[in-house]
This record gives sequence, C-alpha cells and structure tokens, in this order.
Amino acid sequence: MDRNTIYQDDAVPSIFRQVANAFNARGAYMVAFWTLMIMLVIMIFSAVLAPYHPHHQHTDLLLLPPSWADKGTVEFFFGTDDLGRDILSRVISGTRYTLGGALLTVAISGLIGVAIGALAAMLRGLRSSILHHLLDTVLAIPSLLLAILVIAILGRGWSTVLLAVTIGLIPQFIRVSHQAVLEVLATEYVRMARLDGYSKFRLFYRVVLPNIAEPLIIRFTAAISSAIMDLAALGFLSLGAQAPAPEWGSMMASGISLLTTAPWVITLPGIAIFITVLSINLVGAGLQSSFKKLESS
Amino acid sequence: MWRYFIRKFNLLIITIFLLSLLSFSLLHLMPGAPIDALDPDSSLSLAEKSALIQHYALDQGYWSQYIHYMGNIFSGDWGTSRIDQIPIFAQMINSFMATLQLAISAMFVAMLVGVPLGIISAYYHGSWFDRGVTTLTLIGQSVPVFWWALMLILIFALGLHWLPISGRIGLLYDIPEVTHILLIDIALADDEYQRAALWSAIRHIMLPTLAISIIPTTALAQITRASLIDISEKNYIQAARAKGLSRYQVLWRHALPNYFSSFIRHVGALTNPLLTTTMVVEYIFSWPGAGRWLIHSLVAQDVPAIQACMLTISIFVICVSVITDLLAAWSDPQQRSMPHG
Repeated sequence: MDRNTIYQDDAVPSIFRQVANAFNARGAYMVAFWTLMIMLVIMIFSAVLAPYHPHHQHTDLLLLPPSWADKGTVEFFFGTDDLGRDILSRVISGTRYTLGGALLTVAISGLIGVAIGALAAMLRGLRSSILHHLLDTVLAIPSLLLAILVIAILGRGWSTVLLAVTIGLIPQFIRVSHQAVLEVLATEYVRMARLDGYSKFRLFYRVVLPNIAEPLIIRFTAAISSAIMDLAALGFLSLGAQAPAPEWGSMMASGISLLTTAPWVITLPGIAIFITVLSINLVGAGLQSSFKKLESS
Repeated sequence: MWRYFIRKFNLLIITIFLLSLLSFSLLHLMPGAPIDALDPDSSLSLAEKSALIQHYALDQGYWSQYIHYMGNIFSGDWGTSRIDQIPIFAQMINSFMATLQLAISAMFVAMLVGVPLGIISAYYHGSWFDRGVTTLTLIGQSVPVFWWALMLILIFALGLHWLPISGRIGLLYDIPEVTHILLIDIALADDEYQRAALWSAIRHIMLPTLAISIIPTTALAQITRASLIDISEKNYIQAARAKGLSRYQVLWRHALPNYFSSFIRHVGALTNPLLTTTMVVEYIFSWPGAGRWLIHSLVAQDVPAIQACMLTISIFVICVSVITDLLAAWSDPQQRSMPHG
C-alpha cells in the first residue's frame, strides 16, 4: 500500500474520533443513537410526516383499535382515540412538545447553569458558600414540587411548564460545572497556563472548558431524559400542555378513563416516551463508557 | 466529627430559613395582592377577610409578616384550607404520614431487591447475569412512572383482579389514628378484625409500592454495581486478594464495609426522586398523601395548603440529606474534610 508519509509513526486520531470509535464498538449504543436521530428527524418534519392533522376528529371512527388488532385498519395505524383523532399523527406531532420541549429547556438551563457554575468557580469573589447554601435550598425541593410552585404562581399552561422545568434543571448544572471547574483549576496544566500569562477568559475558554466537557456532556444527556419525564409527568397531571395539544403525557391523561376499553390510547404514547428516554439513556451510558475507555487507554 | 456536625447543622438552619422564606413569599409572589391570593373567587365576607388579614398580619410590613407567619407555624396554627375548611396542620400530618408510609415501603423494597442485585452483578462482573441486570436497570430508569403504574393497574387490578386499585384500606375497616402510619395503627388497634384489616391494608399498599419502587430499585442496583466495581480496583482490595483471601471474603470483609458510606449518601440523594415519584403515583392510586393533596390544592388555588406541602416536603428532604451526610461522615472519616460534599 502506498503511504504518503515517509515516517513510520502511527497517526493519533483526534479525541472526537477516539470517542466515536469507542462508541461504535457496541451495537446497542449505535442502535440507540440512530433511534434518537430518527426521532429528531421526525420531530423536525412532524408537520409533513403526520398522516392527518393531530386535532382532526374523524367522528365516524371513534376508538378504532391499532392496525394489528382484528378490527383495526391500515389507514389509522395506531388506531384512534375517543374523539376520533389519529393516534399515530398525535404521537408524531407530540415529539415537538415532549422531545422538542425537553431539548429547549435543557439548552437554556444548561447555558445558564454552566455559566453561573463556571463563573462562581473562576471568580473567587462570589463566595462559593453563599452559592452552595442557595443551591442546597433549591435542591431540597423535589423537581416536581418546584414546577408546581412555578405553576401555582404563573398559572397552568405549556410555557409555564417549560419555564418550571428549566428552573428545576438549573441547580444540577450549576453544581456539576462548579465542581468540575474547581477540579480542573487544581491541576498542574492550569498552573502552567497561568504561568504562561493566560488571562482569566482565555484560561477558561482554552484550558478549562475542553477539560470539563466530559461531565457536562453526561449531565446534558441525563438532563434531557429527566426533562422529558418531568414534562410528561406534568402533562399527565394535566398541569402542562392543555387539552388538544398532542403532548405525550397529556395524551395519556385523557386516556385514563378508557383504560379498560381502549388501552392503546395510553399504551402507545407511553411506549413513545419509553423508547425516547431509553435511547437517550443508552447514548449517555455509551458516551460515559467511551470516555472511560479513552482515559484508560 | 464535631466540626463537621456543626457545619452541617449550620447549613441545615440556613437552608430551613431560606425554605421558610420562600414558602412565606409564595403568598406575595402570587399575582395580585396577598388577600386576593387567599380568596381568588372573592367569595368571602368582609368579616372573614379581616379575620384572614388578622391571621396573616397582612396589614403590617413584609418582615413582621414573616415573623408572624413563623410564629403561626411554630404554634401549630397553619391556617385553614380554603376548600374543605379543615385545619391544615392536622391534614398535613395525616397526608404526609401516608406519603411517608408509601415512600418508606418503596425504599424498603428497593434496598431488599436493588442492593443484592447490584452486589451479585458486581461479583459476577461481565457474566450474563451482570449484563441482564445492567439492561434491566437501564430499562427501569427509562420507564415513565405513571405509565408503569397504569400498566400495573391494567394487569394486576383490572386483568387478574388480584389487588385493589385505590385507597389505603378497605372501606369496612375503621382504624383509630394514633401514629397516622396505617400499618402501625392497625397493629395498635385492639380489634377482632385486626388480621383482616392488616391484610386489606397490605393488599392496598402493594401496587403503589411496586409502582414507585422501580425508580429507587434500579438506581440502587446501578449505583451498588458501579461503586463495588470501582472499589474492587483499589489497592487495598488487591492487597487482600494477594494475601490469599477468597473473592467472597474480600467482598464481605473489605469491599462492602467500604461501600457503606457511599451507600448511605446515595440513599440520601434518592429521597428527592423518591418523593417526586411518590407524588405522581399517589395521584394515580388516589392514595390520600401529600402529593395528591398538593395537586388538588393547586387546581383549587388553595395557597395555604400549597405553602404547607412545600415547607413540609422540602424540610423533610433537607433533613434526610443532612442526616445521611452525617452518617456517611461518621462511617468514613475521609469525607469529613471534603469542602462541600
């Protein structure tokens, strides 16, 4: 084989490449990753992919079972609910609410949380004990209770719930980033960079940030799955997305009374949540083990 | 240890102060004046309104209102519920004890099932059993609790008719409430139907416990497995093995005692998700606990009840976390010097 380099050295792949290689090695992680990608595509093109409008009521086809049941038809693949709405379309449109809402809340709360945590760790001026006391106070309130408090103040509704979940996620991000930055700041290479005369901003941007990426990425994946659970739980308690919106949790809440007659109304959105959260958790576990492999190699 | 204890106690006091401030401020954070938040339908007469103003000292300044509020809290006068006109303090004790009963039994199941699973899968690290447990924990962590609870109802209550769907005990039994924890109350009650009542209560608690325990069980199995595998790579374990101890002896004599302090810590950290799960499951099973009460009060805009729930649940969480931290520090002196753990 022709080699362009005349040197015998082995090329060291980039860190990203190494993580990707370690991730590729396990089949289950790849399946989860591609499931998630497909979910994202469905979320973006949900308006085109849904066979019917999620609110359209087929009044002559109430409570049609899914197509694999005896009485089901292929036109309504997942069947219909008690108002004759196509469940497949509602599950597809629901990705926008549940998955999209989770991504949005995690992105916002991650930005705010990491900024506060990193700032508090970098600038010793802000006494970290004050921050910790405030954090402990917020962390003592279960996330659902915190969301309920926000809803009590601002009233029910989708935007309130998004805000509530965002607020609930911030403390964890602050804690993780604060601890990670403090750990990195204690290392030798940071001292070297300081001796080199790096400014605080450059030190953070060039030295600290790449080294706290690992705990942050793992925290982000965990936060997405917990955000999905919280959004769906609030929807299920009918505190979140309001009635016609095809949010998975509220779809299940409207199906409770049909538990005996039409279990598919509850089962299918539940399976959608389950598959989404499972693939996110699997991707998180895969990333974690790839990082570990990278460290030990 | 004393230094650590005082530091933790200090933290506890400050946190409880902040929580009480937050709970008090809820009345002021509501849209409109505090008196409107207490009376959203404007259905109260002038005399009732002035009684409320008297009770919350709403005609005074912010801080003197807070002091008044704390005075009320300590004297056990938590106000009356707007909906059913019963004293909130009594209702709070009742429902919180019901929640506690459910949460503790779920935690009990989790310790009984999750910890052994974690230990066995760490002991046979890499075997099919280990892989099975890892898969199960991943699946268990991804199941939405309310969906799981409904599936349990669908299978065990509606399908097989083995267990009842809702409530704490059959309607036929009348148990005097002493401790507000039903199982203890039944044991104390001197009744000819004691055994039947106990059986009924156990049948009622089984499904909700099963529904809740999926979260702590899988979490404990995962944490136990990961920590034991981490510990087994430590030098002292290698030394014990080199000394000639069998793997089994190493596990019991060296690995598990060292796992204890982080186990306690993780149990403390699980309180928060455990209570969140309990609140949702209570709602599904109509369990008369704090979570269900909170959601009902939220729908009915019953501010004093929301305040009481928030204060009680969050203070409980912070107390458990401080106690578990102290226990962990007591069993592992290294943790006492950690700046913030």
